[in-house]
Amino acid sequence: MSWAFFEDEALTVPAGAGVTLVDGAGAVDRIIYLGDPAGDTDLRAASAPGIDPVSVEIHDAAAGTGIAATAVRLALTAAGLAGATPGAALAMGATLDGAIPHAIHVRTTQGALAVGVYTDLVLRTVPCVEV
Amino acid sequence: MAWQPMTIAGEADGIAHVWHSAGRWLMRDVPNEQYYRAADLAAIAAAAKPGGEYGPVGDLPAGAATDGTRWYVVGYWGAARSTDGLTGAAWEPIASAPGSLRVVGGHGGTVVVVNIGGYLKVSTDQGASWTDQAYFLGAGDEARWGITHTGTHFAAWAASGYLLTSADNGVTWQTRTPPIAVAEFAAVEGAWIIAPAGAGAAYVSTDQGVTWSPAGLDAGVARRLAATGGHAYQYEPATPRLQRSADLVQWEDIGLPAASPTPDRMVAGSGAVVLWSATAGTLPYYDPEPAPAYVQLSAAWPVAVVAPAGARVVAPWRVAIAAPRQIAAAHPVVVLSAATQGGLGGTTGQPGGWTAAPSGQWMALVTMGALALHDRLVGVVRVERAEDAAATAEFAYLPPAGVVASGALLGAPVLIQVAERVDGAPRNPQVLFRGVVEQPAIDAATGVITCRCHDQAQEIIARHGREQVEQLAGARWHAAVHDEYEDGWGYLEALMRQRCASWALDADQVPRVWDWDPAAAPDVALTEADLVDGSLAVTLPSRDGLIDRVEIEIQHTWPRLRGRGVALVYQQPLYFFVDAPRSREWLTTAMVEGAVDGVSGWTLRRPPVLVHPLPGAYPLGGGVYTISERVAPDLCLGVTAYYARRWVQHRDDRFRLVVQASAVTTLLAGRSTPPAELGATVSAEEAVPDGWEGSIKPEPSIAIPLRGDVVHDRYLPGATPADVEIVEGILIGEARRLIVAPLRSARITCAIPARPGLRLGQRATITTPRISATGMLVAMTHVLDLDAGTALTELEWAQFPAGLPAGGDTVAGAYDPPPLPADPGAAAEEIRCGTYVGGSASASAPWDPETMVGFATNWEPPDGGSEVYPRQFSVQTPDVADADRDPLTVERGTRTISITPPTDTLEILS
Repeated sequence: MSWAFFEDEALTVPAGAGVTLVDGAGAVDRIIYLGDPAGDTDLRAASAPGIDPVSVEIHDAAAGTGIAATAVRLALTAAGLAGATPGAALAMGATLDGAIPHAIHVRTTQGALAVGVYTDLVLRTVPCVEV
Repeated sequence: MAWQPMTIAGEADGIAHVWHSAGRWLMRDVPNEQYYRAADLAAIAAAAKPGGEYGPVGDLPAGAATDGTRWYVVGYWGAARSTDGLTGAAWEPIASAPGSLRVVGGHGGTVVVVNIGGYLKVSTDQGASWTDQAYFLGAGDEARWGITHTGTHFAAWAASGYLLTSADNGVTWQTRTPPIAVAEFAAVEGAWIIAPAGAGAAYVSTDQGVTWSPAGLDAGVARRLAATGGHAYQYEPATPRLQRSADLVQWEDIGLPAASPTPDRMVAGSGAVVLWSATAGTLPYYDPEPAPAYVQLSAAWPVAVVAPAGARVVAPWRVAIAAPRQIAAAHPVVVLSAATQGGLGGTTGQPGGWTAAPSGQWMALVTMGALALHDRLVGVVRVERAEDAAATAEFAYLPPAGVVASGALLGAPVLIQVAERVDGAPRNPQVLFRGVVEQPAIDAATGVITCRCHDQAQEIIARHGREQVEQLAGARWHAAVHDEYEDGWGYLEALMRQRCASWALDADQVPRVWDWDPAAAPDVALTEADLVDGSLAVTLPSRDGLIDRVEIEIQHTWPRLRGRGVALVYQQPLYFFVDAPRSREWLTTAMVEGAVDGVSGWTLRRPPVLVHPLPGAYPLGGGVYTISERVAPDLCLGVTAYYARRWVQHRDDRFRLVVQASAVTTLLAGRSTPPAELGATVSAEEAVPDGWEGSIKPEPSIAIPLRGDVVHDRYLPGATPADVEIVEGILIGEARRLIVAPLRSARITCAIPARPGLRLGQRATITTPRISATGMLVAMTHVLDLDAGTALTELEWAQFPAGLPAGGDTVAGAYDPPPLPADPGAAAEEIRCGTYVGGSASASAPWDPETMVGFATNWEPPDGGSEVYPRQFSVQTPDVADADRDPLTVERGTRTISITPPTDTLEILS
């Protein structure tokens, strides 16, 4: 498996930096990239490859504590963030071409979070296969 | 409707002539000279003969027509006209009519006749007076001569090789020379068709007889032509076949009557077609509404029966079994205290405090791979960032006892943060650096490992594709300016040369590009209270390296595909050769063919059309000049041939641009500096294949007129005028940077408590009791000194010279091209072919083969002692002038772009 999330469009730096918010300063938007650095495989949903969409979901590893998934919105474009549903999964398409990076716009809002570090959110795809 | 046999009570001799004019029919039988007239073919009625026992025109009326008001018949004895309008039952002779008439036509009050000598006469007063008009030599079967009106033109023919036409109802006439002796003629809207008397090709003209081209009909049969109701009909008695066409291009079959003998003549009118045979005892057949013959629609239905083959159709059916997995990335969320962001400029927070750690207690956090090193760090943690370069970091730590896997250190991901220390634990961590270990080193005496790191800028940018780099740089690439680059790294460096901007990765390793825009609002305000004591220093700009002028030369080269068509048109009338009392020596077919085929450098576009005299007996000086059918093809009256040639002329347009900054000139204070020079050539590989010039067939094709020139600018991809604009924009950008970049030599440096949130490219106002200045952050170094307990950020601000005049760019001059040399065209480049007659003692100049190009002939017999020319036919083709062939260089002028450099402020306060 060579598909992964990356910080940069060139698919060089594995994603994981998350985001830093300043208390009271509002939401922060970032872009991460889903792709295959080797560029030689496509990604499809394991449930029905080529039919069901590859979706990216916001997984809360400690539901009820820390930060909630609803603090994050996902969209395929910057403009799409405003209309995205907080905490909702993002459908990327039935087959993702490994030759190109697939941008995911991520908006993280502070909400009622206090100053601190929250590590319980994970961005992840539905179960997928590379073909 | 369908074919109807005509029924005429009492008529048993058969019909010899059928005429139609102005919606009326007139028929004549022989030998009983019974005439029939009708407006409706179904109601043919016998009528009195036009006059006495044999009629006023004798016993052989050769033609009949109306002028729209009454009938006229003509014959050897003269002409007669009806006295009952178009009824044609009562007739009277026309006393003033000329004799020996063979054919008559009429339209709109005009009557046109032709006599046996080929003279054409016109009457516009119903035959009261006649005016001689054009003349052509009649020939062949007089029964095939004719005059008709097409709706726009009179057309007259007499099997002579000439066609006389009139567009003004017979007032003036033009002589046309169709390629055949016309015996049959028909016209539809916009096109005419002609055919010879016997078997031969039919020809079509769409320009009222000026030029003719083959009609595409069977050339091996004889045919009759007629037209009515917007259709032309062509009838091939020998086949037999009847077809009709509305455009003389597409022909459709019409069914034929079951007549015996097969009709051999055809007349059409009032929408009907009449077929008949002059054989005694037969009557015509007519179809009042001819319709296309039975049409059967069909489609091929091929059935292939093949023997079963041993092979099978096979497709691989790859089955891959993959274990599904979820691709995941942690999304840690850090919420910083707002206090970490304030404090600068005395606006909020704690001026001069430890803004990275509001409590004043800080700690360095270094993670290498999964290893947290903050408890093992020693010395100084240093992170350096500068524009147009990778960020670097260096830290040292004391590894735990055990084996050091040095290989695991190389390339290990590194995260460096500075955080507030609260009860020994980190709080408000802020990222200073992300990257990888480039080179570790170990102090053998102490065991301390020092890691030098970078942020992978080159690796990350190198992996960017072309589009990603172009989008990042906001710049364009063109082959005329740039090389091909192996990866995004070299590509970005090349593109950034046209931008007054810088690049770097941010703390999250994302590439950023920002403009050097002093007009942008300041991001940071620094005051004396923010600065580490004694850290402020100002370096004023230097004149070294300043450039005030860049000259740009752009050359645009492309091929012009040129073509030229010329015509050889040589024609002499028959009387040139057949004249009394003496003639001129004939032009022969062999002489013409030898001359037209050997025209060097030019391609014959189609077979030449040679005009031969028609065989026949011609009156000459009281005698007869006979041209036999055997000899006629060897004699030639003229020839028409079209030639073309192609060649390539390269055009070279040169654009000159001057980008200058008078403000920099002022700064140079008279110091002379040579202008920088930039240039590019926008061109493409050769546009035509080998052999293109030697023929007119290979692609790319250009539409060469029959007479004249065509010039096709062949812009290839990458070398179009649009490419010139792109290249111009790129070079202007590079020129601007060459002028502006050296102006950023001034620097303001200072140090403040560690400030992770600052970014390269941010602008600041710096105000102290001594100075007030603006600048852009071009470098910064975070220094976390664990031994001294200080956490500082050293800043370097670039500054444009202060006090330069403001204003926008101005452009002067234009690329309006000067007038190009006029293309001479073919008007002055026709094929030379004159006529030179020797054998005249008084008129024949001395023979000069250099100037007497064309047909050289002699009076026959020649005058005694006169210059006798060698009888020959030669042509001289034009050459392509040097101006049309040599490379064409065009100076497109100079544009001057005056730019206003950016300026910053620097005030010394008292």
